[in-house]
Amino acid sequence: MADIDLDREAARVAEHADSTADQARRRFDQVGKITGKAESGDGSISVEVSPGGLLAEVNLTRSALRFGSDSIAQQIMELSNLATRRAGDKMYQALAPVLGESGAKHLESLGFERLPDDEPQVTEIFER
Amino acid sequence: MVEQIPVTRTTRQLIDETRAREDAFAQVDALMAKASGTAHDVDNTVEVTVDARGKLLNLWLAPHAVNHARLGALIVEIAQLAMREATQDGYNKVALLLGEDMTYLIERLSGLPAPARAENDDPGMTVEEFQRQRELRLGTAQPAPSPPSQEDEDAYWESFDPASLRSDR
Repeated sequence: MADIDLDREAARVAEHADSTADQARRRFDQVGKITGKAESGDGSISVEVSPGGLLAEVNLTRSALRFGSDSIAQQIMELSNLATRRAGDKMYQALAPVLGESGAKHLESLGFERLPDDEPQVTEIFER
Repeated sequence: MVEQIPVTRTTRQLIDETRAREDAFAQVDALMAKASGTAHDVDNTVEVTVDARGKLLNLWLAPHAVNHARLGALIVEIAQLAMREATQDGYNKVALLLGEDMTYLIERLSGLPAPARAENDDPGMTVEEFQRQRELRLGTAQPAPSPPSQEDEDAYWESFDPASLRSDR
């Protein structure tokens, strides 16, 4: 009768996870803190987000306030969307080499994807 | 020491169980993706909705928001509060699917405990605390009434005379 050695299995999984985490940590040390940034064409609004998209910083110049609250809110939404995708691209590039092919697919399912090369620039977004 | 238990189920049963478990875990991602949280400041200047990863889903600013001295910082602060709500919402959904024990395990593995489990969850940011911090920021702070300290409370109980209680007879 086949017995499953739970201790050995658990140790094997833990060892693999530890080694992957070590590699990931070394990658993060190399590339530094990962964030995504985006700025409006005239530089009056800029945002910075953590991977995943949580706002870490929102800077508004005095001239941005003249746009009115609805316009500011909409621009922050669009900038944060772009910044989130940029942070996701950085996460993908930092972690995909460590995690291998199946891990890279998992990164994509978490929303950490490579940006297409023809990603529109922020100025284009606001010149629409 | 984990006791070794002979496997009595068939290979087919084991495969079915593993698949069922995989299906359940696959739903965790989907449930977390659906989770969201909303927060606003006491003055209703800013309202933010984010998903469980923190991505901005909606931002509303009151017309008077443009007069706020530190609007950018306020938006960031409210987004962080909204994310706590979203995280809790996600775990609440997952707990319905997988049960409390499994959800606790996921919290441990992810390193992101449910906000409601935190010992200091409630004082994290009460309305009063938010208002006090806001007044400090705006420079209109009234000195906050200091909450009774532990020492005050201890002194009270040391000198407490039970005879001062009214008899219920």
